[in-house]
Amino acid sequence: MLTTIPSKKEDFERLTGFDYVKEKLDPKTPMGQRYFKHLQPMVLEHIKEHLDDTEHMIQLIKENPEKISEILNDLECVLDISHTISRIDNKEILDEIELFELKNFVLVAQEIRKKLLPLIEEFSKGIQKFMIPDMERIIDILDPEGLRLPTFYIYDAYDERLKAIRKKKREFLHSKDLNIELDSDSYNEEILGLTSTEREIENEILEKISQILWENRTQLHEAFDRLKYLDIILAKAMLSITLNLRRPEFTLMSKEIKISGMFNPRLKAELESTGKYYQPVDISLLPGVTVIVGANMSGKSVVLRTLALIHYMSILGFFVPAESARIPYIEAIALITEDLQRPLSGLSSFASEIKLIDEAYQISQKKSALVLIDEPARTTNPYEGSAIVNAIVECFEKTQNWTVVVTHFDDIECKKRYRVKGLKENVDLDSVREIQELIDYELIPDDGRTVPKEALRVMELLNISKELIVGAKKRIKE
Amino acid sequence: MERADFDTIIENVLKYNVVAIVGLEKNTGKTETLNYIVQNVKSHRRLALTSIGTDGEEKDIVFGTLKPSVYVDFNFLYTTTELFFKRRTVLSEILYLSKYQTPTGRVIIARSLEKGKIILSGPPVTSWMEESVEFLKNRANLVLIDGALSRFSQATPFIAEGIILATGAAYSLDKREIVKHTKYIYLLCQLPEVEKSQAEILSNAITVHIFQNNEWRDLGIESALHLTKLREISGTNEKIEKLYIPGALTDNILKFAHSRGIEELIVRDFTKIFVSYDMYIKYKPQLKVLKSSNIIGITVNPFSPTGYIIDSKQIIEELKKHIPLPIIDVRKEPQ
Repeated sequence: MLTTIPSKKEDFERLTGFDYVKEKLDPKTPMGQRYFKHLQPMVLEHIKEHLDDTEHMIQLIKENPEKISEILNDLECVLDISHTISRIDNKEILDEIELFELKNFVLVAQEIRKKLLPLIEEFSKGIQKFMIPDMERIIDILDPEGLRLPTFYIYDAYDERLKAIRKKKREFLHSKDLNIELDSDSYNEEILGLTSTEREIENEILEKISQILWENRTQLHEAFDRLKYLDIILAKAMLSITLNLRRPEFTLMSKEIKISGMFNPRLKAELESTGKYYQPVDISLLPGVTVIVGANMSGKSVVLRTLALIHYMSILGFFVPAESARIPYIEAIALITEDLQRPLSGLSSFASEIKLIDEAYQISQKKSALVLIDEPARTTNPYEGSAIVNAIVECFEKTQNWTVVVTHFDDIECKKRYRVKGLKENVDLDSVREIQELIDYELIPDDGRTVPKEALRVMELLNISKELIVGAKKRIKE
Repeated sequence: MERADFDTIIENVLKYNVVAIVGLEKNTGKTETLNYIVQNVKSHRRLALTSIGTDGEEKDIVFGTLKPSVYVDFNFLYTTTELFFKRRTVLSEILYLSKYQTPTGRVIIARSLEKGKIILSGPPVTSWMEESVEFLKNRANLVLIDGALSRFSQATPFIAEGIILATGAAYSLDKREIVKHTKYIYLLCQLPEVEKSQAEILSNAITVHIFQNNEWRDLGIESALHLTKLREISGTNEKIEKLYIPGALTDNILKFAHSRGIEELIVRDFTKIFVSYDMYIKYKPQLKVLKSSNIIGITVNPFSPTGYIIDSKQIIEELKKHIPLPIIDVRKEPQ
């Protein structure tokens, strides 16, 4: 459904920083944990449902933080009974251990239901669908003594015959001093005989209980599915609150991608943990190619990675790291950038890069795609390099897919250009501790054909050896 | 056989909430010891029984060569695994089911609703053991841990407050060997603890640490079994005053420490010491533990699995010369 480059999920998620986002997710149930482990792209209708529900849930959390935290605690006690449920569906006979798990499950489900009820009365709109069906009938089956404890055995109350045989067994045991007769054959024989009669009746009861559970299977399915969905949406909502994510909006009519206040969650957290400020950026992209130029260290790669992240998260039905994001629903995301963690496999960096670009080009001719290429041909000579980049721009322009090319080459012909504002003027250098503070990461439209020449200033700021800088400057003058 | 010792062992057990029974060898009568204690404390305490792991003895049960023999009364808590739970004869209520698997299924914590014999089985690793002991402690006031054969890990003082040591003819038919080895284990349990301040630094360490120039240094290796690595990292000449080993202390490490002139060796507790008696005597290392162990009694089983019977009275007399603890043969309780 969604094609990505790199095609390996793990690589793609690492490059975009989605791995960091995933780490921050905290689903409570085993089902929720499994869901997020095997996340799948969704169809638009489904995405909308998740986004709507996440929105309602965020509101609910903000207005009832205590009640929600109680529900989260309850969710932690939910057992994964999917195997048991499918055994019920198949009309199989459950054993005591399964009934123990089932009883735990329905007790917790009922507990969560009780906590949701008043919330639903208050905010009926939107959260109705999380409502857990009433489990009372199933609880009664598993708790004939009405103690409502999360423990289980085949209770005497199920059957008069069971009660009788157990009484007989107890009386026999009572008459024996087990210290002496623990290993005697007559003791063992008698006990085994009584136990096997007891077991026969127990099996009959298990059969009956399983039958009743089969009759109530719809309730169980519903409870299971809703708890799972509740857990998933709660996790998504909590994530949105923690990382300050916003709902993306899918544009159906307009073809423009328009994102404002975009940020990369991992980088933002890293900067903020050392007391630094992360500067969010705005960007809008029309179909066709947009070129971004800018000095080294000006955050161009981060822009590409975050663009990919936002689109990826949207397709998975998540809120996204931006103040607002209007995006189209696309079928492919290609992020072609340096992967420091994955040294090249046999091919030269140029070869593997150009192959990926070609792959993206082919996909781009067939599907709606977002193609993000970071400094193509940077490792080859500037003469051929700039020719190659011009060709890339020309070809991708024709696909009318959203394509962003970051480059350092001069003379790249492209109508839509952005430049990172770059090094700030008039900065008091003494007050600056890090070079990041000197850079304005804002993207501004640019109509020139040349790229900013700031590498030398960056070198100066990095305190690079004088000879190197002077040498370079001399040559530029010539 | 002194009546007083029988009483003292029971009195000692009643002082604690968690007591482990460990055997020097398979068939040293741990189960008899456990049943003996159960019989004598059950009217005073709400009991919970557990054991570590699925072990050889349980395999015997799986293959039908050994009969289950742990006795429970009404309202005992016990741990077992799915396989044995399904085969039980004692009516029991399931209280808890672990998430993790053992070779014989998940661990179940159950409550007996009648008396009879059950098969104990429990978590195979110490960290998980700690969790289930915690669960049992909250619901019973005395937890008895049945030791797995010749493994001491469940007797770690971080879990068990008191230990009963089961020894006997199964270890050796030579009385002197039994006495020698029992004395040795007793000695390891008496090892001194490191100072509180140091214990705090080391208690969460999972890597090898060395003490040099008045400070602890993390060597970043998990086991001192990587001796070559240890040699490299710890440098060639600089003096190491103390060495902390989070894992097993073996003969080889002891030799290494001796050759490097390391003055003090520190381990978590006596269950981490796998140094043979002979090596211990040869090097006489200065050993310290983060937490010392508390042996509260010794039981002697005169029956060997090969059919020989030795005189438990003589062994008890000999042991008592060296060990100031109640020592009994549970089969010979004087009336």
